[in-house]
Amino acid sequence: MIKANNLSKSFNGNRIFSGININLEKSRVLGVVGNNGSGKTTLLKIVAGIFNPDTGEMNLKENIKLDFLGHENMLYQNFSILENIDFFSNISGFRITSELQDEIEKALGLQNILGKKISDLSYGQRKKASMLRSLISDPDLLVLDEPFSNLDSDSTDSFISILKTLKEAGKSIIISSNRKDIVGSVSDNLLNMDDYNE
Amino acid sequence: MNSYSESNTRDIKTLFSLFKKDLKLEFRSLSTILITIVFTALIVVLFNIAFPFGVAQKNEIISIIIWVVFLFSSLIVSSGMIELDTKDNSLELILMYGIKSEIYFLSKVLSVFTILSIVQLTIFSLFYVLFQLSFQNPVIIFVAILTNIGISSITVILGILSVRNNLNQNILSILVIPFTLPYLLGAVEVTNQLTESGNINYILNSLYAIVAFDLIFLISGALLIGVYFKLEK
Repeated sequence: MIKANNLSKSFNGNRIFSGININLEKSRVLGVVGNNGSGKTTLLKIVAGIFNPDTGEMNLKENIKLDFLGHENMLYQNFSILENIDFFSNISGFRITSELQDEIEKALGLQNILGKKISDLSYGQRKKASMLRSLISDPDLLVLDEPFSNLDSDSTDSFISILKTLKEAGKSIIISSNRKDIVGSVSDNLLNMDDYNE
Repeated sequence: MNSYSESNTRDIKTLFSLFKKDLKLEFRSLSTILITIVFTALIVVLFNIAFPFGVAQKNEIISIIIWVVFLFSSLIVSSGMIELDTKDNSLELILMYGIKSEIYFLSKVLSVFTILSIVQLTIFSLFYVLFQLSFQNPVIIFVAILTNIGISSITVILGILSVRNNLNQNILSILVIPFTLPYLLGAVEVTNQLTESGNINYILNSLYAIVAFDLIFLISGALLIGVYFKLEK
């Protein structure tokens, strides 16, 4: 699904990390852990194609659909959840069937607030709305940056069960967090960024 | 349908999706458009009070005020429109989905152009009412559209560069002046001639210059933003 060799990245002359290798197969979850500033977000953005690595190679399987869920919710605050979904599926060109969309909305507990503006939602609801946005294109590989940050324990549990369902459905997932215990419970492998810092 | 025309159709659809999103967001909050219209109205009313009627070269001075007010309005509009995508980092998603940078640039120019057209209409109406400025020749509308295209392109280029680099809004105002000077000089000259004599023959050279600058800034803007987004990665 995805193979990366010897990735490194610097910003303004400061080396963030070097020598990272990734090999992720279908239906596998890779957890990326590490302290704040260890380069988790940067690595995930390289995988998502938002940044280029300074060295190394990223090889994604051909025609793979990838989606990214960032720190920020990356949604338009003055749009409702549905308007955001419509906009992003229009520009990405992909959209799951409405039945599947209903199922995901139900699993995320969003069905009653789909018409609400993002700015009117709680932090946890925004996270779930972002998750819905990233799942709507039916990605083969889902890159999730700190999805559990600032979530209460109920929301964290429901997120974990959604991730497990996605894995069973054949999705590959890369997930970052500084909560090793939570990421460890859903991951097949762990990549500790602290081992690659200089 | 071959792959080339398929790709073109997709690009056009994407451009209009981005444009529709910008307008929908803007008309929902009305923040940028209201600030700009209030700013414009305030300047025009202040000048109306300060400006003695019957002064010599009235048309010339009014032509300068029109375009200077328009230029500063364009700065407010373009940074407001660009911030729509940068505030919550939606731009990263847009680019991740493989949207061409030139399509993104053109959609922003189109959005800024549309909002600025509304602002322009307000400016001209206020000048008509408060200064009894007569627009004898409809060519003024054509000039306004051409100047709007160029100023929208320049402010979008500089707006993207400054917002993405967290530069201060004041720096944008300074950067924009040398680039827009050729437009302003041409637009002032044309507006002055059209409001005074209405004779198009005197303004053809200025019109050609405005069209040439439009093409230069639209094409170079699309290329420059593409290179910038690549370097930024």
